[in-house]
Amino acid sequence: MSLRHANPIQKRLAVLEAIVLFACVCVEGRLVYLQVIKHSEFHQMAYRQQYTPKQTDASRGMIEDRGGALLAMNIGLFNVSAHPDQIADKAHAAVLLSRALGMSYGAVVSKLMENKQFVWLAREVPYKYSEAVEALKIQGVDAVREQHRFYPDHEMASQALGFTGIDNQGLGGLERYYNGFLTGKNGLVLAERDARGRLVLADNKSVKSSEDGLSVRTTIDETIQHIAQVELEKAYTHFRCKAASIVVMDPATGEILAMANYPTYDPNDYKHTSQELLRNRVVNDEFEPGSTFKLITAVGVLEEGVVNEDDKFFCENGAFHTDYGRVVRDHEKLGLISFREVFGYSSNIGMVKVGMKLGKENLYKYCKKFGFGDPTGIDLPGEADGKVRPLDRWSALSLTTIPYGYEISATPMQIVDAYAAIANDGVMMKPYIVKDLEDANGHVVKSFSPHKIRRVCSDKTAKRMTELLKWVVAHGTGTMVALPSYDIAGKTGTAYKFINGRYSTNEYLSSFVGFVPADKPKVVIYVSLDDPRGIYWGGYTAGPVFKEVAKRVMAYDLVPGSAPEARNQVASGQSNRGTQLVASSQMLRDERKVPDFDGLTPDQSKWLAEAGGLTLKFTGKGEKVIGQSAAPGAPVLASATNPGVVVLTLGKPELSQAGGLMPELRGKTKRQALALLAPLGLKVNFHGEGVVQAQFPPAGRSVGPEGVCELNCNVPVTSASAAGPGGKS
Amino acid sequence: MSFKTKNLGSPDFLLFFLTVVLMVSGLIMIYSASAILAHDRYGSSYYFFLRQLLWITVGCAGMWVAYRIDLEALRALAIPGLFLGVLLMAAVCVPGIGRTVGGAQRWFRLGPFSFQPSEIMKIVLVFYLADSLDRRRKMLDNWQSLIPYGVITLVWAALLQKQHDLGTLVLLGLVTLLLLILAGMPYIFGLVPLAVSIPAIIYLVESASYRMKRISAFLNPWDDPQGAGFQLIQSLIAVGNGGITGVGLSNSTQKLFYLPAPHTDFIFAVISEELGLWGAGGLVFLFGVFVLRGFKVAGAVSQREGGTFQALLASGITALIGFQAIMNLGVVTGLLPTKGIPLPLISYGGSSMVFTLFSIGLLFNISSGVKLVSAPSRVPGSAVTA
Repeated sequence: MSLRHANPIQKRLAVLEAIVLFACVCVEGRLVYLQVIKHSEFHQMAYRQQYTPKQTDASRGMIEDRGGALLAMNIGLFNVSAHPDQIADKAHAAVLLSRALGMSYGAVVSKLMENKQFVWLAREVPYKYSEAVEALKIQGVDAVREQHRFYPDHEMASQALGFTGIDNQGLGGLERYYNGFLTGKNGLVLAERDARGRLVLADNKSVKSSEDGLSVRTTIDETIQHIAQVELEKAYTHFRCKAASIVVMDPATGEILAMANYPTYDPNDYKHTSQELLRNRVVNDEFEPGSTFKLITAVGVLEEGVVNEDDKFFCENGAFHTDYGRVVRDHEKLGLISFREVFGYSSNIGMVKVGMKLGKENLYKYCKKFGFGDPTGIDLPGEADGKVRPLDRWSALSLTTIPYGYEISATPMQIVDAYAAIANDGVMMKPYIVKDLEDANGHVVKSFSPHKIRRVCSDKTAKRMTELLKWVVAHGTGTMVALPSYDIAGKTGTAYKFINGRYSTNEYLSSFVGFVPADKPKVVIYVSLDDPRGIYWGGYTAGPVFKEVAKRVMAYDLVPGSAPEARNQVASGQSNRGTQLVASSQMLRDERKVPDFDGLTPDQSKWLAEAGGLTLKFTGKGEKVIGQSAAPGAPVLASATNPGVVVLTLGKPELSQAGGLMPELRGKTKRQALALLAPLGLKVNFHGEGVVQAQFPPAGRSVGPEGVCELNCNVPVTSASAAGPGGKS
Repeated sequence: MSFKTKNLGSPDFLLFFLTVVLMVSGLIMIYSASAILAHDRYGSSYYFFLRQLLWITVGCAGMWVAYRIDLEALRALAIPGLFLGVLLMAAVCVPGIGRTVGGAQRWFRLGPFSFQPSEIMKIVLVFYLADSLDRRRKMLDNWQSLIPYGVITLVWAALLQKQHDLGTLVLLGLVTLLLLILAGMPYIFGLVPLAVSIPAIIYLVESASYRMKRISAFLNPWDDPQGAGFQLIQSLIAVGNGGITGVGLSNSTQKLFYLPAPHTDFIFAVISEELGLWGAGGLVFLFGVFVLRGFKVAGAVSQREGGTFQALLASGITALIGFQAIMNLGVVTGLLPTKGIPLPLISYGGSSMVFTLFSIGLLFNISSGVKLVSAPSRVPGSAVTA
């Protein structure tokens, strides 16, 4: 444009236009500088402040019982927090929040009034609270989900399971031992957040996806654990013990079926638990075992052939002055008795004499063979070794103490494993508590199989030893333990506790360990009571616990049909029938109320009734109970002489009459036969003595309407266990 | 006095087109920048968008009126209008009448809406100056004739200072100076207000600690990135993060409460981040074209007999919009210290939008009688007036 012809305004406007143009160029230049030249720098700054690396939590693996019932799981809990400086009307917010959280107004308002950027209003609250808080939509109040470990059965097997800390890390028991597997791999996302630090969910960049931890399937049987724990607690309370422990193990495999200690704790609330309660005494504590250790001396002499069951020993009438100036005493005065009686009556004097025949080299050899002084290798943390002095450090007195279980120390687990070795025909298995590890889809990633440690003695010696242990229960110190339906092999122990450098005269460790059924052992059970008050003999304190557990476990485990079905139901998770049954039997026992039998099989009903001391009669035919003579919940009408009787009506069979079929009884003892026939409610006529040689009706045939069964018995030519379906009739 | 329509010519198409483009892009960007904030604060992401739409409607009506009005007849209202503007500005400073937002008492509250009298002040001042300077243009080389303008300037400047509105104060000062110069005041006289205002500005800055902070934050934002420098840094991050192509419409992350006023004073930062250099640079280009076109209209109308008033009015209005835009863009890009200046036609704000549209209506009015021809063909016309 030509300025020559422009008027003054236009001339001056031209200057102005130049200025505006210049300003525009400045801004454009600045934009180029910021957006092109400095772009990456600012981009990084934006990224840094907008994206925060945020961990995505991998779920911790579950812990399950052998059937899949959950022993440890995860639940989502919520933490409610507030930024007090962002809350406009604190008093009003406090009113709403206190209502939503169920807290007092004062507590909420005092937190909101704190001169802080951030406060926790409530930690670890269930979803309904966070939902209520979120519905309020108060600026500056947030609810964040956090995974939290939950143990649905609370005190159940708590020391074995362990617990997790605030960051979900395993701090004890299985949680700690398998922490590496249980802990998943956390993922990483870059989460977009706004200037207030709140996460914007729309645009998260996943850097690494999270990987959930493996689930641990234990060998624990929830039902057996429950039985063991309930019975142990009763004794613990009754005898006002300092502590009590129980282990139930499958001797053939080394699988731990149950493990419990009292006093116990709830792992959901480990923070308010004293350190002492967290100890798993079964593996963490060692002590002088006392009489239960006599097993090792006995196996030694039998295996070495230096003593036979009928060899006689003079038990010095209760006080044995040894050559070394030490006096060994018995709890009762015994004279000249056989080795069988020495063991059965638990004579210390006799055992010292037996041990002298064995010699210290051999005694030491058997101590080591049974694994004393070394951990059993069970997959639980902090297992104690126990102490066996090296042979060169044995004193002259050692042979007067070690044969009956002093001057050495052992963990309950070592004792259990020693008895399990005898139950398993002399082969010691490594105890283990985890069957397999499964990924989130239930695929087995790693499984643990039974592991043989070593043979501790010959099959024959183990059998002879079993007979000695049976004698203990049949005639010796363990008669309190005897059951009518099953033979039990076991040993009592009443050890003086070694306190402050000397043996206490009034504190004992009473224990009972054994297996059942003696001839074909299903379980080894160990029970110990620390310092029971009143009566302290192992046979009278720990023994009854053993007996009750043995009875209920056998009913659960061995009555045909019952156990597998209960287990399947537990496993399938459709109904925890096994647990329900136990709960019902508990109700029957403790409250004397008739349980609800509806829908149970006769076997299950029978088990339930037996556990609770109720007599059942069955009418009708069928697989399931459809009616009962006394209503569920009604009190059991029974007197001492007349046990309560309930008549159950069996419902229409839909597929077969499996519930009413005769089992195979040939080769069974009378007791076994009775146990097998009990669910059928038959009148049984025995002819002769010994094991069953013939039966009517035959196996597989349905029970006749007359409800009578005839069994011909005879003393077998070989041992009972050799007979079976193929036995001579 | 009648305000009946003077002509039926159509406004300058380019100005009209730019106005519509800027207004519509502003509306879109307001929605983009404010949706999350609006949802967070009012529960509806359309809150600001709908209100702005309402103001645009009102503003367009005002623009239509301004476009059809008889400007020469309207001149009679120049002085009463100025008085009304000053009166409103004074009223807003009275405690109880004015409403304080963010420490600044600049608003009247009218039901659910608030209204800023300084926006009226802008247009009535420009209108008054155009009218008065047209009458007195022959005397402007005499310094005594400038005294009334000095007095008037002192009055509104004092009122704006009372409202802590330094941004508008600087804007109106510059526009006043510009109109004086365009009207024929010797350039040398322009140094006087500059000489006066520099110590005054230094005094004003030192008298208020927040202004001092803003200045130091402008010079060195990284000294206090979480405090005084926060706004500027967040703005620069937004602009820089946009890069050449931008992060995409509605994808700004800086608007997530990092930017202090993403839909008002810092909307250009959001535009820069979302639309990148193409969008932001394009917007600056559109504003530049708008301003140059406005001045071109002023220049063309000045060639008309008795066209000085309209030329001054057109220049004043264009300068108001242009200077505001430059100041806002300067602040957002860190070229100027932080001041509360909205981006005309773009930023959210009712008073600003309504009076900007009204002013543009006046500009349309002026442009409607003018033929903007290319330079060679205009030569004879120029010669006539010169």
